[in-house]
Amino acid sequence: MLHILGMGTCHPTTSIDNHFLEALDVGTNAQWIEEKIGILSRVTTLPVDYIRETRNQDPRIALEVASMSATDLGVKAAEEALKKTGIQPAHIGLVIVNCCSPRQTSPSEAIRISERLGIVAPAYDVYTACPAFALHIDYLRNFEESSLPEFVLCVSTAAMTQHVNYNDRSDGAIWGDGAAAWIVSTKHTGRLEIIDSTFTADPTRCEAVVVDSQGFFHQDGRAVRDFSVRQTVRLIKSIEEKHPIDWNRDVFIGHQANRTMLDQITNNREIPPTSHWHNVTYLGNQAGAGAPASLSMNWDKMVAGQHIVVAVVGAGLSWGSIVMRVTR
Amino acid sequence: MVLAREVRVFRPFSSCYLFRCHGGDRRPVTRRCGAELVASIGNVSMYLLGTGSAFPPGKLSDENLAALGASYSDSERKLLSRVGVASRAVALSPESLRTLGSVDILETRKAATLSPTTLGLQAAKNALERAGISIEQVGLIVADCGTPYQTCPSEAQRIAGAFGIKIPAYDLAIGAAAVPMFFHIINSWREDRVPDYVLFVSTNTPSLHVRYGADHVAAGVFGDAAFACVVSRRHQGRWRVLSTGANSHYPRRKAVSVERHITLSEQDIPSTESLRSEVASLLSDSDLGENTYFIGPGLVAHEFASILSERGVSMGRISSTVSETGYSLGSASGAALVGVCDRAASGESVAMIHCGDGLSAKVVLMRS
Repeated sequence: MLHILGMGTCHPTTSIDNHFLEALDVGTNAQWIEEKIGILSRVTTLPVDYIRETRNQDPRIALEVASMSATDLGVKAAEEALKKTGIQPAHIGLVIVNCCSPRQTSPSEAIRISERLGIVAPAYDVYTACPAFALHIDYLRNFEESSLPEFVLCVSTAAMTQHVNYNDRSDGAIWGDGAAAWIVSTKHTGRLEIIDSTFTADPTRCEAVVVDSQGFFHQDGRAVRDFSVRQTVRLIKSIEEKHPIDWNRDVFIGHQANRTMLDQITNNREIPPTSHWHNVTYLGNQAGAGAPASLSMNWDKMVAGQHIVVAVVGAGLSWGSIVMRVTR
Repeated sequence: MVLAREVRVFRPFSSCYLFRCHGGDRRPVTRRCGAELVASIGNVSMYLLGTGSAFPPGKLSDENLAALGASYSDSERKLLSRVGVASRAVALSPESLRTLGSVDILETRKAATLSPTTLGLQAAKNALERAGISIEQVGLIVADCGTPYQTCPSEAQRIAGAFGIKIPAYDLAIGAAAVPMFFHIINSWREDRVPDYVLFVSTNTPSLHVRYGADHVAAGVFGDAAFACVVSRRHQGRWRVLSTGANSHYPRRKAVSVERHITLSEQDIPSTESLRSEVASLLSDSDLGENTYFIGPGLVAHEFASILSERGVSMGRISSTVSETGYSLGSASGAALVGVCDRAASGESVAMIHCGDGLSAKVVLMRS
């Protein structure tokens, strides 16, 4: 049985609100953003003056001026997870990372992060962008338990604002930067026991969400939004049918794409606000880091016996789910 | 099939132990040797059903490079001699090479004859054809690409999208050790979690990141290639996986870096000494006899062959495509495997080892 022993997060300290985006004069305003996507602010690794002056017209310059890279964010999140669990880097036996905004496409982000942490263990990227939390858990559940090392470090990190065209009124409002890390084990029990997981994809629609390695993010917004709501609802329904979920006790965490989308999902499944953990309202969409970061930020609120249901969707198009039980 | 014999598996460096594999008994071993994680698995139920490779049509010879102004220092010549490249397959036309030089990667892409995705798709189609299965039978696509045009979606999803199929697909970005590591990973999975057929693709177009006319060493080393294979844990194929293994012996991890441009870090390339140690460890494996083909790290392909040859291995038993097509990161060793699969006879085996990007990995296969 796979257990999550502890988690960590890292977010940049620079925040941009909707009034800042309105002042860019790209055809949007604070009220429209709030009503349409429900995001009030987002965090970025970019200097606000740089965004204001250049609108990030050359994303490759963003890499030079950013306060932190995706690697920096991932390292900080991992350090926090290690600190919270009391596990030393030397005890980590495998590192897997998801990153859709790497500065370098080779070597892997996992190698950069593990090298910075002083971890001498196999390290490689297991990658699908937004549903990475589900992919990583489902991927590790594939292994014979005896073939996994004692501790595995998983990281999902994204510096998506570095790939945003701030002349686009939608993209600038959506994205934030952040990272989450979690340490799993089959040999030690943790507060979260993995009961179930899924991951699958429909690559025939893979062009709906694109991040150019040297350029901008681009998506077919309407198609992705419709897909995200429909698919997340389907995932939750199938979990409700298979597991004894009680939304008065259990918790839902979705892909932190935008708040209005999450509200549509929770309304459909009649999940009360107290059972819905999210962070998109003030941090923005942190790609594959949003959902695990949300869990990490609410770690101390978990109650023994509670189910944590994660249903995440995104680029690929791909989607997946995790059902966890709080052990203590 | 029942194997009632002792199988000696990958014993990387300081670790030395036997793994007994009887019949269907799978006993993966994970242990620490000092700071290293060592994981070796003997296996009697994993098969390689088909392999495929693809190369771009463009050829770049040493003469072409000289025409682009290439000249080398003694230390650069020494490095190039360890790789041993005489000709490179590149996704750029000779005209593009002359005019592009070190201009922007986005401009280079426009001039490219193909992308990593189209190259990977071609290799995947070849592998499926040789395996005798259709893409609809595949239950999972996994890809490795160090030079993707897009970081989202994953390369595996782009290739699956090009096939027009709806199945799980994601990337395992491993780098130089991608092919043996893929075998090791699938071999480490619970059988009930592995679909009937898994398609693996490693595709790389490093030439699109080379600053031709400015970085002569990179220009001399890199070429483009894609490799694909179909494996199964349930359906028998011509090649049976005897053993797989991996460790994290190599602390140096950034021999090749790809950002806008590709760079080689000489100090991160496995040293001659460590390569000799790797070869000695490999040859001590009692499973490997005169009927074994060897595939080694592409970035030191020529040196690997020389060391093996010194140890009495016939050059005809050492497979590499690097001298003709250049070093294509993780795809290079796979491309060599395709050649072995074409010519090996029943009962012959192939041992593929790779080191780089922080990993040392090995797979041994036998033709049934």
